[in-house]
Amino acid sequence: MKSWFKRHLQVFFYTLGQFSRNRLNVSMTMLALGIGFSIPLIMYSVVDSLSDIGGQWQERPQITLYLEKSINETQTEALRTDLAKDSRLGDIQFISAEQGLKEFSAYHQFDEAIALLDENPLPSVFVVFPLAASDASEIAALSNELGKLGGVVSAQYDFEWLQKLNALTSFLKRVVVVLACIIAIGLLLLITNTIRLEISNRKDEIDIIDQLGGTPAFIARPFLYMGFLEGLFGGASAILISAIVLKLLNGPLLRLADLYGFAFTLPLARIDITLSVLIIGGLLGWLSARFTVLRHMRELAPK
Amino acid sequence: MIRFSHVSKRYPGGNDALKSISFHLERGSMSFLTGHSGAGKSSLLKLITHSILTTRGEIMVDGQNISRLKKRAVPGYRRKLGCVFQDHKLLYDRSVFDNVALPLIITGASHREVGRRVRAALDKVSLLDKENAMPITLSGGQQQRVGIARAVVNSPTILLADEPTGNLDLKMSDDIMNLFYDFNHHDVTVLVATHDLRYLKDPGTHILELSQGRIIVGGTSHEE
Repeated sequence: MKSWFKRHLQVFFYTLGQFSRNRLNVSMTMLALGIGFSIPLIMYSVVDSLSDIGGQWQERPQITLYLEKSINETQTEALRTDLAKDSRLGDIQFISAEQGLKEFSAYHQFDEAIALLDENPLPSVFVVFPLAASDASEIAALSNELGKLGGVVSAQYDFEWLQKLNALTSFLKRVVVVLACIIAIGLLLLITNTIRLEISNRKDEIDIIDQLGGTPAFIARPFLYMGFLEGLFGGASAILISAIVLKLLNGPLLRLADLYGFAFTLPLARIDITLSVLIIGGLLGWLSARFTVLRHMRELAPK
Repeated sequence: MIRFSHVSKRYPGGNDALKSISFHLERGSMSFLTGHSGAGKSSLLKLITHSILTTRGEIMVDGQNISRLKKRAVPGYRRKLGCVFQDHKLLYDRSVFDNVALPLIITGASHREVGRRVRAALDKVSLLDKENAMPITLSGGQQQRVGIARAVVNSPTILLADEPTGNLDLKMSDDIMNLFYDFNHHDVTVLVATHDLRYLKDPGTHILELSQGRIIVGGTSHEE
């Protein structure tokens, strides 16, 4: 067990030594791997943030009824009673014009602009929450009907865009997965190629070791380590690249997202993504090296 | 130690390298394998190292039937052999020490064991002062001695050499050949393929002569 560990450690440091002797080639390969890996990684974190927005939003669909500006308190109360009688509706919230203005100025620091206005530009609104309505067309029909009530100027429902967003993010998620698979195949080929080059560079060494009684595992080991480390370092550089890119995107995005009250997270901050990129990178490298070496080993078999 | 029974080797394309040959080399014997180029010397050695497979017949080495060697048993079998090649087959990207150490690294010998055995082998071939040199800086004769040190560092029971003196002058050839005799005196079974006639006259050596894939001296070739 101890000698097994020592032998692996030997090969590990031998491979690192080979890398430092081949600095330019190795770093170019790793950069190429990193760029390839970073594309789905960046896309993933953007899409993940988008679906976060969907999640942060209330899952319940809601309909906002904008009331006529000239409406008086009795009419409003009558409308509230009507709405309360409707069995299809659950909670009903009333936001008066004054209340709306207060909230608006508190949230967005628009006090100065608002102070310039002669009168309150905001209408009073009812926010109603339909019960058990998951279908967008149902909500649309209900919203349409409520829009025709006396005193209501228009009714808007925000369920539709949420559904669209959800559909969009699940579509984008699929795109990321497909893209990641395609890129993974490309990276597999890239690593396969570097390993094949390395094998042909060290053909004499392989033949001699085979002749001296080296087992296939012994012969394959340095190449497996090479593939594994290339994939691992490629994954690490992908994390670095996407962290830089997201940092650059994050500035303007944060300002935008702040208006909606959401935030983007760097994948670097998420240990699970970092770990899985490293594991997938190392695994891909190891697999493609194994595939290449095994194919070469068959040529060594006596005929 | 090495017994060939009715061994034939036919390469793809129909070229018969060896035609039903039989011979036996005793344990601890010193044998020369000779014959013109293309007579089948290299094929015979490659059959012993299991680098090529027999078409027909049976080869027994040290009590092991290597015509029926399992794939997994090949590395272990090859470690019992020491091989010396005409073109040395050294690795030129590493030092003399690392070249000689290679068979020990393969078997996973301890660090101390590697140092001890490599220096003993280099001492044997009088190259102890060159352990840190790169092979490319050595003469042809010195490189061949590095190759021999590598072949014996594992204390093999059988030493095979394919034209080990092919590219060397007389003095260097004698040095190399004396090394083989020396190993033979330490109970190593030695088989040297050569067409240097000077060594074939030595008394007490077994001579195998091949001609067109048949044994004409030192064994039997069977008519088919």
